[in-house]
Amino acid sequence: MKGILIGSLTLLLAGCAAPTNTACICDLAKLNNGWCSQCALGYVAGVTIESEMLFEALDAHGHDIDPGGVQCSSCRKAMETDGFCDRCQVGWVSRQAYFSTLTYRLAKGQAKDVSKIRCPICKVNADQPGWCASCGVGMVGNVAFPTKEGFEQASKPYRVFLAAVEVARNCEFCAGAMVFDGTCPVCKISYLDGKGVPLVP
Amino acid sequence: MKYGRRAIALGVMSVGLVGIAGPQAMAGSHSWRINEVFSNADGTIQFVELKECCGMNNEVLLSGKYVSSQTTGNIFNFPGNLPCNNCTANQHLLLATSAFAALPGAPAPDYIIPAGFFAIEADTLDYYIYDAFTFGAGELPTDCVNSLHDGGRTGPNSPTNFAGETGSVDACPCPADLDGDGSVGILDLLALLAAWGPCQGECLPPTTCDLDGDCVVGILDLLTLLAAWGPCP
Repeated sequence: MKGILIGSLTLLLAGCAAPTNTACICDLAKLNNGWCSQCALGYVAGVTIESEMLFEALDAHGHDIDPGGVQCSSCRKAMETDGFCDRCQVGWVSRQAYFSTLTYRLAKGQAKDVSKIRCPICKVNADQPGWCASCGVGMVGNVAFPTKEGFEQASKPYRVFLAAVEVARNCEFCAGAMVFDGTCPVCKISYLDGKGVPLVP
Repeated sequence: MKYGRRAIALGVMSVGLVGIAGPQAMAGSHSWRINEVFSNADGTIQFVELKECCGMNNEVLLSGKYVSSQTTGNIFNFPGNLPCNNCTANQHLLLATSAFAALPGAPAPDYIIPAGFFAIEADTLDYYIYDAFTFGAGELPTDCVNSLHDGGRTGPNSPTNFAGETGSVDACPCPADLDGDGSVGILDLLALLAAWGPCQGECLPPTTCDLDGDCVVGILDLLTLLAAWGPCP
């Protein structure tokens, strides 16, 4: 029991002061789009998110849903085809629901531990989306795509997401609105594809 | 010592597991969508109905979320989370004005919004950053019966609250009561006669004296008023 306390305390006290001490914890969060409460940082596609609000809004994990409870016909069709329901703005992958284009597209790839990637091109591509012709793999963050189509479809919302992560430092609502094509109630800016557009109507 | 190391390892693991928990809970609030919007002509009777779109059963985290109008700037902040578990799949939330709540046939609103919460001419209603419902000029019916549904369809209003109670309201139960005093009488007759002839400007029955909606105040309107003479139902 004493050992448990010492072990726990050691990690808690170490906190984020020394990143190397917490790397093992946050690395796990990086791989599963998780929140590292030890450091108060979230991860989506391996990208660090400081804003808890943005992280929660992204809700980047798949949601299990009772198929029988889905009333929307467009969703039911999308569920069968790993498609996206434009009406509800919900994407379906392996019968799990995703609530943004970004998370839906990312769910079609496979998260990788970037430190274990050997190909130097793929490693660079994990920083900025790119296609490695020799491996036949596109990287969007730490997510690998075996097809160019999947890679390109994920790249576009990912770039918006990267911009949103930066914007979140100034306005979390704007950041969330960028990802969801929504409107920031504070700055009164609507977003479409990550760009500000006039309020409608 | 052997057990001590094992215990330390368990401690490390327990903190590690706690460390990746936190916000990644399964409950959420993403899948509410603005489903139906209704208003009478002066905005005193309005409702906004949200519907859980996708069969998700734990969309209870409404604290910090809001419904807002871009045109009026009004914002309704949800006062807290829904007090239930596994209770949201395909359910509705009803935000409505007090005057709506007082109408016969109206299901009890889950939340009260102020009169004129949204603009009737044109507006975009936002549910947090997750959903937007936009209508342009002339798209929102104000005939006291029909509402605007998701996808642009209009039809008889069908407000539904979280308990599943549904109904339909007539927001103009006494259209001939032109002065709004609760009865049809001489003042209403005089107002109608004063407006006799073609309607001026935009024709928006039944807020004018044009009770039958033909954009002319005439004999049919007079007969309608006389037929309704006396206290409103």
